[in-house]
Amino acid sequence: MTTFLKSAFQQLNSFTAIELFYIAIAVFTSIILGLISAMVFIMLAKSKQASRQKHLQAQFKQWLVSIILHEPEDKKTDFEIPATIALLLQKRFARRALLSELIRLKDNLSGQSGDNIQQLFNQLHLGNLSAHDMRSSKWYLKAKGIQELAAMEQKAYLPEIYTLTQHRHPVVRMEAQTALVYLQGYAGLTFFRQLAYPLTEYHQAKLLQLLANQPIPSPEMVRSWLVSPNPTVVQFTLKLISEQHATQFQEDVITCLSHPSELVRSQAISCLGEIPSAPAALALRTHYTSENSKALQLNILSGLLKTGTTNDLPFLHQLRQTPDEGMRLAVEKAIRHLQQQA
Amino acid sequence: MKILIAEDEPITLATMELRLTKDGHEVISTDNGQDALGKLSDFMPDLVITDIMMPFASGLEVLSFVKKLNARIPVIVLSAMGQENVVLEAFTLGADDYITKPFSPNELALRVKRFAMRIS
Amino acid sequence: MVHLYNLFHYGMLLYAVSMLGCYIFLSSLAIVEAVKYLRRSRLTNYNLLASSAQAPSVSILAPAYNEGANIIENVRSLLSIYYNNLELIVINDGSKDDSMAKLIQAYDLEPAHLDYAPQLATKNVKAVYKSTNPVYHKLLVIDKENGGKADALNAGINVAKNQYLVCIDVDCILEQDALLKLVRPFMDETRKKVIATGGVVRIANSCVFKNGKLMDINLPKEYLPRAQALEYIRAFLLGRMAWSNLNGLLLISGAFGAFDRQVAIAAGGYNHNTVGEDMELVVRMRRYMADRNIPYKVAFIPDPLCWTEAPASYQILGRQRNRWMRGTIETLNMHRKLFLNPKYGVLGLMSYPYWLFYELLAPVIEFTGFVLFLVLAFAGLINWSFFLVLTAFILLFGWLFSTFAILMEVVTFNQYRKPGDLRKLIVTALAEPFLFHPFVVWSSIKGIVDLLRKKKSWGEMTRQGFNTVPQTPNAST
Repeated sequence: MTTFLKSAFQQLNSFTAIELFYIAIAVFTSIILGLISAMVFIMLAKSKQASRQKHLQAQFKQWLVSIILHEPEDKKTDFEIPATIALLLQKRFARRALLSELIRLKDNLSGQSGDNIQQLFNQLHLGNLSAHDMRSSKWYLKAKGIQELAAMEQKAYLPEIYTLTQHRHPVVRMEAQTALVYLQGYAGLTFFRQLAYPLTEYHQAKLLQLLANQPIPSPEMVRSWLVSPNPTVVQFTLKLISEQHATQFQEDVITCLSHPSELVRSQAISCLGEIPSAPAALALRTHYTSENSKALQLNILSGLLKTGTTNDLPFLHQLRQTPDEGMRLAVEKAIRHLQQQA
Repeated sequence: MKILIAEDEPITLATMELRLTKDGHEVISTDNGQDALGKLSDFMPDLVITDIMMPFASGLEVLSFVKKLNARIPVIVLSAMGQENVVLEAFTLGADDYITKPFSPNELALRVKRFAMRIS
Repeated sequence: MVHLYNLFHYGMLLYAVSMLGCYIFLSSLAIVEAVKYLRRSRLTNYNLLASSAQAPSVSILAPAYNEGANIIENVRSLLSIYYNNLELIVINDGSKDDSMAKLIQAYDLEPAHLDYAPQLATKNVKAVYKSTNPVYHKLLVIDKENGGKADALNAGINVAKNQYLVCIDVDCILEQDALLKLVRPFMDETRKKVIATGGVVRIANSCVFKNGKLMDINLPKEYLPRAQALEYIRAFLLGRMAWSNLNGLLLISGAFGAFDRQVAIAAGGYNHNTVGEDMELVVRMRRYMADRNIPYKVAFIPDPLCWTEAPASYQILGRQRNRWMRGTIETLNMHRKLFLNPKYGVLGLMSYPYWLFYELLAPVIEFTGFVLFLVLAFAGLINWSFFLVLTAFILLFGWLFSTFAILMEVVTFNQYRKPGDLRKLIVTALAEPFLFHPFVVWSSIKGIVDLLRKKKSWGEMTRQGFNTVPQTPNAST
């Protein structure tokens, strides 16, 4: 044993010659010094960048305010660009800075002011910068380019944006899809027809926000989405129906209660809670017994609470016998609520 | 009329300032909620215009503070959030008007004018 | 004795080299993850979530024990969080001071009747209060008998109605958009279920606060908090970011983290039997999902979201580290089944062994190494030139890692950008192996000893209070 150890240590000894450590120490020290210089350099670069940005913003400020508040007399003429600004805008970073400034302002201002901002964007051909980004191979530039083109309502790029709705990077396709809906409303949702990828919850929220104040134009379109092979499209559509309280799709929503995806069933249940009616309550009651997820059964109870009437009381009284305490409390709550309403 | 504006986007703020000054108002502005709270009691404005999402304190806090200070000072809330629940919350807290972003500076000026007439 | 010496120094060497390998591996993962996050975050407008009816519903749980001094301000600060689908549950864990009376008075509270079926066993809940003032309609206050932090959180979970729980220390200061950023990962996955998200905790000492809002960020002026600021940068920006990339996160800070309520309840809620309840819950929730073969994820947000005061005295810091060590051991012990168990994937094959060898055993190994060194030195068996080189090697590696962490901070969030901050951070890093680190190791060793003696003290954190900042008024920057 000891001889083995001895030889092992000897072996190790030859491996870990002290010179190796000197090299390691030298390497570490130089890396540390390198990191520190990088740190200082980046810090300086960042503060320089920040002050340049601030300076640019100050230079643009007066000029931009005058353009925003500009009232056109009769026909659209190009804005005057002061010589100092024109000179500045020959530089790429200044054009970039102006571009992002205009995007931010477009988010804030509408009416004549919004039109003026867009006109300036067109006049300076800033769209070329965004389009260039959109065609880059980097996903974050692509997404940024699309976002900017949409914000400035550059409809000429729609066909190109459309092809990106099926992009394999989730952020790129999300921005492309959002851009289409932003620019075209419901007509922008045509990409649903061949959507192979799922829509995230976040993306659904974003699309719903864009469509919030627009009534559903064609019932056929909505019905076709409800039978989409993509469960997240169905889920989105059910959310849309709830938000718009679109009672005309009640039958179709009831059909979704037997959808194989739990996600869809759950959404259908809460959707029926939002579009109250007797058939909805009946459908929820019938579905209760065939549903085997406890969470969904609880959802049904809170749905009944919203959509039900005294007609549902006998059914609820039956459920009082359930051994599950949480369930029983939900039943009691629904009963109390419905009795109070009567 | 003395107007206090709280808005964190500098050029939007400058635009509002210039537009309202053109109408003959005296405008004081700030780019964050906390500063707005401080300026309120010093400046004693006749009207407050505030954004909701701002650094340090939200516009809704500014709103409640103004209403506690003097319920008669009108407050116009300016926000990118147009959802019913947010608008309702703002009105519950005492907002006198709610403008959704993107907004038109001309429209804002007209609404301010209406309040000015009501006060004088 | 010669063998002992050899064993000692090659053992140390082997340990150092393996640790070095791990750290380099983790750092590169952290970079990839941080860059991805920042690029994505820049494209996002978080305000959408603040008002959207589609944003997930959230219950904030804030346990409080004898926080009477600042409770009103702290709750006000939490109430000012703008989020539509929100309830704020403050749990008074049997405080002996006037916390409850103060809350009732300040927020017009009245006992309310609530229908709920407690799913987790807790100490007796005396009453649940709601405010009669509509401005505070999001507020719920639970008054219960004292049972410790885990018990208080469980009582909160029982009452909570919403989809996600956000557990937070009542005296933390949150960034305006903290909740929005923390909740976003739950909405981003379609293939996996996100069961928890964690946020970055930063050190608030010397920062300026006004009305519960962070106004100005300063690097802590005292040495201990500053060393912790550096430590937190390293732990959060490098460590957790890397584990998040691997989906192997074991710990979500108890000071600010979000959990899926149903999964948390199904897994059994917080465990009263450990002082490391925050880590233990995450591990148990992960096991729950893995045992059922449901694809899941624990996500992490590198943005500085939550500011908390770090212990500024050796005594309190020692107690805190003592408790952390006990929590780690207890958690790892309860879940020994995970160790190198391929069924648990990254969790069993990487996270658990890493925690065991480099978080739990590191202080033990360092301490034994030091004792051995003393013994060998007395015996005159130390090959001094070799020993010095080895020490330099290990020291330099520690510094290298710290410098790298500072660089990451500068590249990403760059919070400490006042003149001199960078220099102070580097000096802190250089001094750390001599001042701060030995103390942390010693406290951890004491934790292990205490645990072996089955001592279960809580280690009370006496806070200095946020409203007294700046703490050193005449210190110059």
